[in-house]
Amino acid sequence: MTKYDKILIVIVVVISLFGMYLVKEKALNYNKKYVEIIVDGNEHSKYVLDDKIDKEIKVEVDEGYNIIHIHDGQVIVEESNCDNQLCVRKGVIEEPGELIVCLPHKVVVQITGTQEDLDSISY
Amino acid sequence: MNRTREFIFLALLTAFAVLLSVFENLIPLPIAAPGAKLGLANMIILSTLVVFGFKKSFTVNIVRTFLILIIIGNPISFIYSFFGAISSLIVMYIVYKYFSKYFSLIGVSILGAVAHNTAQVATASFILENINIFSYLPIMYLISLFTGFFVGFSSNFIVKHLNKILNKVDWR
Repeated sequence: MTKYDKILIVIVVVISLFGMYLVKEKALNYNKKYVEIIVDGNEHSKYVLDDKIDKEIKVEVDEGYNIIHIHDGQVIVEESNCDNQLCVRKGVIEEPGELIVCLPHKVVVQITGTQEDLDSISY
Repeated sequence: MNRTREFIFLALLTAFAVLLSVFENLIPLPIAAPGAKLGLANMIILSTLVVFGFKKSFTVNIVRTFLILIIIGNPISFIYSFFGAISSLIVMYIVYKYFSKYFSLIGVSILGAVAHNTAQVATASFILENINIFSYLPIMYLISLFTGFFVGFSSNFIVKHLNKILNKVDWR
């Protein structure tokens, strides 16, 4: 291992930490959250994500199905018949910017947010 | 130069790479990111690149991805791994050829892994038409440091032994 290898490792660590910070930073600016289910690039459905919602959605595609459960401000893919099961193993997501991807079914579940101006609410 | 012997060696290396790809599919990773994997087959690709040169490792790589498509039978993940494999090989080739006095095989393979992840995430976000997939990239870079290090480290030994074997059979 040469000196430049070590420099490279440090650079990659810095880039990835900075990237994680950016993703996190972007997520914190939102105060209203939505769950979007996107199938093959087209929006399948969209829900407001809050603590009261409790919904189970079955997304059917040509290759199979995904069962998505939205509850208590969290989203989880509970069941899927895809071969790698990455979407199920990803677990719960709850912050804007987080997403669950099921590559075999081309299904994306993502949380988005909008910024609501505090002044306009109080006014 | 004995072409038949060379073909046999390349065929054996391809078989090894396919075997490692199938094997790593059976190992569950702690992090569920799309397309995250150990990249064990990259050990073979990198060693082939060092010992046999760019063209032949390119062939081994392409044949490997097509064989994986036949064995595992997932056309969508084939597209991701195909672009990932090609871009990682091209980056590793450039780094190895022009910057090998700065980087050891470890650095070469880390850069290859980074290129693989970038290409894979870009392909995924293109196919799914969703730019947010790029938010997986930082964590994948961090993983690729470990896998890239391991692959580069192991490739050193493979290259050493491969050269020893090739000198012994006197194929050149």
